[in-house]
Amino acid sequence: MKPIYLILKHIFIPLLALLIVLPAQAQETREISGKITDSEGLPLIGANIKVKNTTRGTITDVDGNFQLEVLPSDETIVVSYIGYEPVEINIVNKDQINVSLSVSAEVEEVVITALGVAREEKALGYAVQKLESEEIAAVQSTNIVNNLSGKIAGVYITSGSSGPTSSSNITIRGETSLSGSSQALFVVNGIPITNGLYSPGDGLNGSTTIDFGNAAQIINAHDIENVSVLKGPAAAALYGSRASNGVIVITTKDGSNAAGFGVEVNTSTYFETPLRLPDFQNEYGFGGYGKYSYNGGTTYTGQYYDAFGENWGPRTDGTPIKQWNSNGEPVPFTPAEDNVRNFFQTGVVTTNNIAVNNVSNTGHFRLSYTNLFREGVVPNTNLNRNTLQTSVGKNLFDNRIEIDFNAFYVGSSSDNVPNAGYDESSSVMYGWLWYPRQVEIADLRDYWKEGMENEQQRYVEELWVNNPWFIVHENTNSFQENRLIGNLTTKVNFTDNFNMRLRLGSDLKNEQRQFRRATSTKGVPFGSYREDEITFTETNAELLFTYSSDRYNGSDFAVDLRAGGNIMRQESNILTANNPQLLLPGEFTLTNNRSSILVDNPYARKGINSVFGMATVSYQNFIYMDVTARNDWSSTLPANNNSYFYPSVSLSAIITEKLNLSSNAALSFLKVRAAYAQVGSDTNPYLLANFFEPEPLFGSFPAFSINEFAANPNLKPERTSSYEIGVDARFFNGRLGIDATYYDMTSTDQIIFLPVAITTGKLSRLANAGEIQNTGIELQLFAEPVQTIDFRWITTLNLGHNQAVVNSLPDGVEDSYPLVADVYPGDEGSADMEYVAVEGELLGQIRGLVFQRDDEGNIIHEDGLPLLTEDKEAIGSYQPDLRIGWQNTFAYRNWTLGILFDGQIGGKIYSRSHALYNTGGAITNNDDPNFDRSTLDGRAVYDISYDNAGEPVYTIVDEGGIIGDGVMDDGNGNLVENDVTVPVRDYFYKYYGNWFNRDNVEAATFDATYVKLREVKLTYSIPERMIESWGIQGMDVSLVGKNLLLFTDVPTIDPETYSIRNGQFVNGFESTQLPSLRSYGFSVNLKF
Amino acid sequence: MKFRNNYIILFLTAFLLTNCEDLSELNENPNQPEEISPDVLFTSSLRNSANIMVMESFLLGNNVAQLTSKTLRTEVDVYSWNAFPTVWEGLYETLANTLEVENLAAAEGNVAMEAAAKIYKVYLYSTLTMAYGDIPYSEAIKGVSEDDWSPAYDSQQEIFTGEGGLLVELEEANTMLASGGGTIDGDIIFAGNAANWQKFGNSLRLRLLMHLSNKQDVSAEFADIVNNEPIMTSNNDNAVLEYTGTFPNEFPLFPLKQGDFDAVVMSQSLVSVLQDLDDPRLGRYARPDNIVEVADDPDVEPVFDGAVNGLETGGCDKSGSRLGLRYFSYPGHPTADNQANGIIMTYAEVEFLIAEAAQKGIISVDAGAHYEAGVKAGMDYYDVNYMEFGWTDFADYYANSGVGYDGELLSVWRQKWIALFFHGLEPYFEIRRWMYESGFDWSALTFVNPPCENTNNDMLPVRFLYPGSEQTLNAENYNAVIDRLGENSQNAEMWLMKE
Repeated sequence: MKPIYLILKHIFIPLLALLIVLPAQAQETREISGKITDSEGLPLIGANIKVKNTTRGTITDVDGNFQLEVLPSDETIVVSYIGYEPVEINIVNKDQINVSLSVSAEVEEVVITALGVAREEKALGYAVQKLESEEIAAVQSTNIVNNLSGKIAGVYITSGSSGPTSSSNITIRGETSLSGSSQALFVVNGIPITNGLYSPGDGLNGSTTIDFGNAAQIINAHDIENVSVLKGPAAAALYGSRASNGVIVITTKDGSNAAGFGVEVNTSTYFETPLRLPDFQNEYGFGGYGKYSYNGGTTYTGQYYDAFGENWGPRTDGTPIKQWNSNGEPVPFTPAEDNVRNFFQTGVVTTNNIAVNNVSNTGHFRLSYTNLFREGVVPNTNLNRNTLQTSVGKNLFDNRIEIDFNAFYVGSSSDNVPNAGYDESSSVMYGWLWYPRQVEIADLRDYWKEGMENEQQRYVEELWVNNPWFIVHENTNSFQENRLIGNLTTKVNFTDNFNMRLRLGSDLKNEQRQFRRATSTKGVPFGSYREDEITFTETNAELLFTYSSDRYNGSDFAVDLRAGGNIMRQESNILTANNPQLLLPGEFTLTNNRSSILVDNPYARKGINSVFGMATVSYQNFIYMDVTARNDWSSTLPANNNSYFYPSVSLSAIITEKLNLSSNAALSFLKVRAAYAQVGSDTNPYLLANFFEPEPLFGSFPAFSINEFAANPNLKPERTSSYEIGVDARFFNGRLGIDATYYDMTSTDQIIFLPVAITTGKLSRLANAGEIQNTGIELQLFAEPVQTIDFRWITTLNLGHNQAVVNSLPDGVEDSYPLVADVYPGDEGSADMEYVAVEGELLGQIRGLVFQRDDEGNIIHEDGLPLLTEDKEAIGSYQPDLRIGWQNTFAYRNWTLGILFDGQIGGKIYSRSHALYNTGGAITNNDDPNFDRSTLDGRAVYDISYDNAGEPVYTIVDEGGIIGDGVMDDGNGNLVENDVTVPVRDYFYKYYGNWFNRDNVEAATFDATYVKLREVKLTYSIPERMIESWGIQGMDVSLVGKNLLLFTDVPTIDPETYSIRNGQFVNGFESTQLPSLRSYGFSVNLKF
Repeated sequence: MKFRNNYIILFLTAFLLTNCEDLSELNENPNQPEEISPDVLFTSSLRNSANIMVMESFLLGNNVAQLTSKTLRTEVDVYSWNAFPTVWEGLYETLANTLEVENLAAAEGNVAMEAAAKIYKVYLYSTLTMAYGDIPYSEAIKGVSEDDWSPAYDSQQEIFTGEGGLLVELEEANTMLASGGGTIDGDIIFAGNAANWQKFGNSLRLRLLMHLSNKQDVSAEFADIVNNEPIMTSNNDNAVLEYTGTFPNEFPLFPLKQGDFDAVVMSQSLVSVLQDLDDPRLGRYARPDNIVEVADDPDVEPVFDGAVNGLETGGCDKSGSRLGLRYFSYPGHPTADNQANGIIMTYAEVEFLIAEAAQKGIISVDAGAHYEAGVKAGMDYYDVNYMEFGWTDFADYYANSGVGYDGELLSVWRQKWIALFFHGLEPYFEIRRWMYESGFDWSALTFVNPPCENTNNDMLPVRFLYPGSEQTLNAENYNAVIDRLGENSQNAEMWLMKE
């Protein structure tokens, strides 16, 4: 570690100071302009214009026009466009330049590949997809991962709905691991950054509880130049073991794209509202079996049902009933129809960004500041994020030495991140499950009992649920995070062909969190206060030598040779201090404690040393071959087994080069490619030796216990090997294109915690075992069906099909391996719902009890109630058959309309919310494709009055009851049609599981197919003549909408969701998540 | 090119060497120790198992024995039982620590500590075998020190009476403690008092012998212990964990939500027996329904009620008094001076064991005297208020309430049943034994009743199911034990229950 710090301190900082000063000298510039058309005179939109040998340039607008600031010293510009032959034009003494391009078979797209090497896409033997800054920042989200959704084939993004910092699950080509972690690696300007969840301490019952967000979400979209997605191990092999799940390579803007001095301003404001809320019923109120009368809020059953917590009570028809806030007087019992919706407010997201560029012949500079403020739809929740990004480049000694510095600082904070899960102490969503349908939300706004501020909350009952206002205002979860990501690159060009690059990068994260639970919180009677401090550091030092020759020894071969090494060190320190019981109510400090503070302080270090090499050989722009090799030494593996080597080879051939096609042939470009790669992978620190786990003191007695898993001193590295083949074809001068990839990826020797019988004294043991095979197809279809002078329509379809199949499970695992053994822990004696791997089946099966059925598939009943199986069954995987993204762009003169649909076909989702809302009688259940019964039918109805003593008198009006569809035993072993009437509540309870356990997975599991109208953006580019006089070079005004529509058959919830357990994403399980959001607003972009 | 290649190799070598910390050093765990002394493990084992037994008493033992009644999630009361995996998992997990204590103490030559751990191990294993029948015993907990991941199930008979069985282990521990040597550290139950451990171990032998007495003649051993070995002779000898009253060392029910605590109330079976006798323990076990009024005015007569055991949604009367002040603290209610303790075994139980043995002729001592001592020990343990229930003192109560010894075995059982409140799963094991001895005839055990709307044809279930995870994780051995048992059912007879 030390050398890196020394370098940072003595070289990096002085250099930074030097670099900031240098390029700031203003330069004389002039403007050139012109129009770029094709051979038929049609404008080319988005054609590239660059000053030769620089990175300064611009692109044409919808009319094919461009303007470019150039320096007096600039002599030549290069004009290029996909599918067309690039041309060089001398600009000396010219202001107006009109160019007509002719069609070419070449594809000159440049992408950033492993080690930050910019390569022509046509030269690659593996699938890479790239997004430009406009595509990423088009419709902004507070989580950069969401901006990629639907835009890249084979990239699976599930955005969560857990508040302003909501995490997004991103996997590339599917899940590959039995240990649950298959997240893509994020690399910013060549340096890996952490995308961890950092969620020490889960909530109660298995869900995304308090989601502070995936760590990569902080990258600001306005600062991104482009994103390359390296999908398979072949593309990623040189990034090492962490890249086995694919890599998102982010390159930030460095200012070199403009000429001279420029300023850019972006501002946007979005409004957010819940996209979907459950279909609440409004015909019956709080209570049980038709009865309710308030008497202190402490009886669960009996006469009153005033703490029953469910909406199986009397009709909300205005009958006078004693209610919780009526001071013992019977008052009309009426529905409060929008009580849940009225709790949520309209969220606001404002983003303001200003960026300054300056460019000279020998350097470039960019400084950008962004403020993002988000106020959540849950009252008193928010996020404030400030980003300062800078990039400085300087060429010295006649371009012999190039120095680049990139850094961004992100300061984020929130006063309250809502809890989105089945956690009664701080989740408002838990409360809605049991919230009385007849109580207006405003009636609870004063959430303290009168005269008992900070001591006793006020709610409709005393036993179970917390007042939602009390939760959001008192039981807050706040954080302050500082993140600094930076790197310094020094490149020494020894000759034109040979250079050395040294890159030092670091990712520093420091975060404090505070968790308050007020006195009188149900389950935390004294209240509590916890502070977490999370620090994480990763440093990388990478050295790379490159030798390249376009015509090696005068032959037709071009050769690139690279060799280098990397040293990576990670250090994480998590300090949690919990005051479990407050002494004085309302004082949230660690020292205001009535019992001792509980402290946990896990510290971990990890290091990987690597050497690697790569050779690229190409022949006559026709055939390209890459060979790579890397060897890692990881600190987490046993000393005698900590070295692992992995190679890759890829090949591509541009067939059209050799076909001699005429310029108007239907086929304009055809490339085939193939790649093979292996990647090795290590594990987490400290898994090689057993240890003793500290526990809280008992009085003055210290306590330790043996660790729950058996460590393994003989672990081996994991292995992933893969191959892929692909074809890239363009037709009709590039107006139609198809890019298809087939891949096969097998992960073996997985390092997993193999569960063992508790009778061995351990819960699990570490082992290398299991094999998962991912196969899939990625398809990108591109077309430009309409192309006239005024109007263009461009459409892109991204399709991804992936199947992760469990080829083999570890020896000794009989039928299924639990990825998460108990998704909803905490229920007394329930059959645990599991998330499992089953041999020969798709990974990630939902497993639990199901209905007992006869041969015809009818549900078997006993005493009128559905019967469940004794044993658990796996009923399907979350994995969709197809993920679809369909992007359309319509351009008409100065108007551009972008429409993105995004969704999935197939896959399963289990909705805990649906089961809970239904058993609580809160929703109608009219939209349930599994269960054709409404909670409104067959309820018991009573007339309610009061006797002289004030006790309720119930007179039966309708016994109610339902007869479930299915069969029953007639007493002689024959199955006959069920004809037993049971109370509707009992039927719903037994339908969803064994009463309170809700352990029937079949009843609440749905086909998760959905389509979302993900993005709509209408932009008007204000004509230059209108704004010129104000000194403005360009101005765009846009109306934007996100997640505007949801099409799905899944009831109650938005099926695009996940749960988080033990710091890992769990797909296909939903539990009382916050509603997903619809947003709409506007943005303005100004260039000076 | 040649020159350049050398260049590269030189640079790479230098690059790696300058940063060559030993990677293995990075992987040395700074957070948790890899070696430790046995005392800190003993503390953990005692606390965790005491907590488990309190919770299982609250959720299972007390309810099955109809000392309390569930008003919500009544599967236990209506005999729709499952594996109760928290018993299985929790006890085996603490066994792993307890065995480690025994091994480390033996390695250190600390005889007293080894014996104490041995006694505690027997307590945990005996609870498991009483609950499930055949269990992994001689091959269990081998994953901690060896690479053995599939322990076979030993027969209950072997576990009780075999060479390395529970009774032999207790006898050994008695000998070890008698000979002295070593100190018992980390002991949050007896504060390191070896004499107390010896008494507890021998008292536990009496408990196990009584359970065994239906299978074989235990009189010689039973008499030998009562006459010659130290056993519990006062409430000072009780094996109970006194909680500190602050988190996380509170009585385990205190952190519950009110609704979860209210899900268990006093059973009608117990309340009616206590009310018939004006037993002052009612004021400790239960919280008067009119607690607020009683607290304001001591002259107000406390009102108690009991809920019938059985279904929550049927026609079963589910209103009953909540458990006493020392078990939970409500906003607005007075708080108890002391929280309840985690009970492992008490002196009262020992007196009733001797009284029953005398009554049955297993030993020849005065059954009545031990019966009286048992009743008194229970009263004393709860520091009851005789005045509140119309008595001047214990003598007055014993002489005039009708509790006095009538020479009936049923009376010994009834009083022991009252005294076993919150004694882990022992209330269930005893009710089961008494049902067995009474030919599973509810009318013979007059103080309990078949639960209202139960789903097992009025048959008291005789065991817990093995957890489903055993079938998955230890299949071969699981299948073998199921072959012996017939089926994994709550009604399958374990060895102790077989004629």
